[in-house]
Amino acid sequence: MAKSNELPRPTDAELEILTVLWSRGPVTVRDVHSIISRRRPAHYTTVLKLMQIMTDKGLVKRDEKQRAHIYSASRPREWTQRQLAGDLLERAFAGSASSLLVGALAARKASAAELAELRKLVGEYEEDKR
Amino acid sequence: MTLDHWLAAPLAHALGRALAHFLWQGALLAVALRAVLFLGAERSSRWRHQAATACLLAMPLAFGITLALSLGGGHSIGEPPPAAPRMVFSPVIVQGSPAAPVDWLAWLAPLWMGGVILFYAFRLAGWVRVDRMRRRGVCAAPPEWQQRLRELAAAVRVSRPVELLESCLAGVPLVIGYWRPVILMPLGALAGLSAEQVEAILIHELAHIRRADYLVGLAQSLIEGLFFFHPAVWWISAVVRAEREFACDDVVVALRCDARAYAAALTTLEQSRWPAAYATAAANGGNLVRRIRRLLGEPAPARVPSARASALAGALVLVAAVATALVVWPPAKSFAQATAPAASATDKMERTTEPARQNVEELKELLAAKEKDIQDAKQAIEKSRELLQRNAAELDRAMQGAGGHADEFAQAEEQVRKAEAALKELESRAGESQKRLDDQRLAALLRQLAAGRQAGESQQLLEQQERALQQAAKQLQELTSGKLDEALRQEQQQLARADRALQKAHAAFGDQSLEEIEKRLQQAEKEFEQARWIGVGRASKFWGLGNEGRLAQAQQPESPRPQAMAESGSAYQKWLNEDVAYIITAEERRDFLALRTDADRDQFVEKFWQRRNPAPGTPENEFKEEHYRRMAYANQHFASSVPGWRTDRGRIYIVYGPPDEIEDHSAESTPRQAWRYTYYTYIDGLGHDIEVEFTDTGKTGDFRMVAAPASHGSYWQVMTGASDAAGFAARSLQAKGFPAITYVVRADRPSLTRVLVGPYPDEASLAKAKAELEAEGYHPVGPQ
Repeated sequence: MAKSNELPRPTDAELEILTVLWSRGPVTVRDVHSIISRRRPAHYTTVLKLMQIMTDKGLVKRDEKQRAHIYSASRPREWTQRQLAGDLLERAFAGSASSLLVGALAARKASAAELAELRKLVGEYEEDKR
Repeated sequence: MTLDHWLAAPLAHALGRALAHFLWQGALLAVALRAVLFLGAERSSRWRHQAATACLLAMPLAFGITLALSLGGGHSIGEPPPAAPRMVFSPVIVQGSPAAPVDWLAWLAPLWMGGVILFYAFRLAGWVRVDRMRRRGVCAAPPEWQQRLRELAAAVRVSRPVELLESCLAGVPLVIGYWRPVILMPLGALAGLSAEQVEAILIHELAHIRRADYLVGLAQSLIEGLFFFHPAVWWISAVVRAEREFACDDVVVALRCDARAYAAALTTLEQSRWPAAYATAAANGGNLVRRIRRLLGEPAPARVPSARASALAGALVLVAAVATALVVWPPAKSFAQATAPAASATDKMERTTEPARQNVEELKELLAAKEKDIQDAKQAIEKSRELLQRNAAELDRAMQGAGGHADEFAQAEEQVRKAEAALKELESRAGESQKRLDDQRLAALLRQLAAGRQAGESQQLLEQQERALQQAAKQLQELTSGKLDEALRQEQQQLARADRALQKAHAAFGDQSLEEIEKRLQQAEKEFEQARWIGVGRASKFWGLGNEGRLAQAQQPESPRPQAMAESGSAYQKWLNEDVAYIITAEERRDFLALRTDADRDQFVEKFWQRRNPAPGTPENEFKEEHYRRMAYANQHFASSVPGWRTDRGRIYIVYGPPDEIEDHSAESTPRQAWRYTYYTYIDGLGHDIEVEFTDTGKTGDFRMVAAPASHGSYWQVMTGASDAAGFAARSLQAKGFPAITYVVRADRPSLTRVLVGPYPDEASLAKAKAELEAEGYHPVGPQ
């Protein structure tokens, strides 16, 4: 088994399953399969097999007390994200990618000063509301 | 084609010229946009966004037209031959080398192309990464939000289907793609914000989709890459991005009306991404503060011209100066005339040189006049000389002729002296004129030099610009080449791995294509299901008739086709009667015995395991591995006078796996063991909560199974049959809500299993259950 502080980097398919676990909390294989198959065709056995592999790798934990085993992610999302951020491709091209993204917030984070100002602006609003 | 050839090509020169012209064109467009935005300050963000986008699109247009004119026009559209005075100055600027500007411009083209290729390579990699975010680390959002998104999409009038995903990689809500747009919400955002706030964010993203901002963003990237060297392009691009967000905010406010809740949602989102531990040095995050102020209706603080603005202004001035220098360059083409700013710059240059030119004209006239004077004076001297000679001759004659003409002689001598003095005066005046002329020439030369220095400075600026460009390109190259290489290597490794996997797959499945294999697998699965159900039907009938002898016969080495099996050797017999004796279905056994060739048998064995593989398509077969492990375990632990796998405990272990509990009384006078499979362990084919008891009455080490249901009430017996068939029956009963269990009845009948329904504690519930079972088509026996 992998050492707990040296978890292998998850593959794309594993990351998908981890995302389900992070967003839904501890779930059964069947739940994971039903969520994943909502966006792409996936065999139940494939999901099961993947999750067994992930258990062996230490990426997920299995609670065997119930009749249907309950799986949960062994590391929080932030930890894995940090690990992924070390990915060379991610690091090298994050800047280039950010200019291609459109969304509600800028690709770059606001500075501490800006955040303070934002809090102040919205704080005034929250007080108004009261 | 060598670089020299390429540089000599007309295209290189035209490109260089178009690039140089773009310096002032871009600056001019940026200034125009600034003016338009200033005048349209009260207009909607949508209008301002369109203006900025139009300005951005005008840039490649201007460049393209310039390039086409430079390429096709040649001298036919060139300006009239340069005026003579200008020619006087050109040697000073180009330092006497008329070919220099051609080389310089042509060198611009390959430099620029290198930069563009680098920039595009970067953007392409970025695009690949963005596209990966669609698939990587995402899961479908809860159905209620999907439904809400569809309603909101109708409200925003987005007709394309939009996918809503939760992503663990996206830090902020994002839109990816144009044809099949995907909205990525960061994990936890759907749960962390109020429903109203999530809706506001979704409307913002839908507005992006509606406005095709993703496509505009791609086009923007292409243009940025083309003119990466020009600060004006970056400025306009930033304006487009800012106004785009304003416009989407406006859509949200128009649809939701509550700007403040929306502002609060944006702030919460921004805050949630901030404290992440690996945050890099907080960069200037752009215009969120401006957006929130705008949403809350707060006035923007008075803007002090920032360092960025002044840098931009400085860059524009620099660009204008460089453009001026280029336009003054000979042999300038029609654009110098056609474009006002360049023309005015030329005029300015000409104005500074005009006085000097006039001076020279004046000096020339003066020189001509003085030369004429000198000529006149010289003629006068000549005349005086002739006169003097004549007088001297007369004097000689007179002196020879008559000695008494002393007076006349003195007179003549006086005349000669006078003429000589006049001559001297004339000569000194001519010298003075010459000196003044020299002084004036020197002054003109000094002015000429000053004008030349001005032009020289312009050229220096141009060269500085070029050096900066070269340096930037070099840095960019250094910065990226290593990382690109690394990424490439990783991709290649992945490719190699995929290749190996493919080869393995080929080895496993021959030349069949993946779809074929998939299809065959599905077919096989379907057939297997059908076969099993047929098997269930037949087996139940079979066992219902009580035909137990058939099974015993099947287990003996004598098979219905003894010859065939004898030919094929004992390996297959061992496989059938030992390896899989407990798990093969009656149907499969019959099929196997009907096979004639070893190849068919091998294929059968292969398929037999494949059908039971929990993860088809993978090289490992967990079922098979586990089965052989259990065989080995049974042989190791349960062997007595008979091999371990043949004992009762071995059989139960092989078929049902390790028990959850073992109650061990081996040391008692009558050695006894109770194996318990708890409710939580689901045994395929049997259900839950199975207890099997063994006893070793002979104390030989060979425990025998005791068939006795551990009941707390009465049961209906529904059927007795092979464990597989009984398992199916029990499962289908369970699916219908009956408390069905299966029991292995007799130790010496490995596949004899009874399906019981119960326990029912009293007569009423027993009768009710019987009626229900009969309604389902079963024939309950008992009760027991």
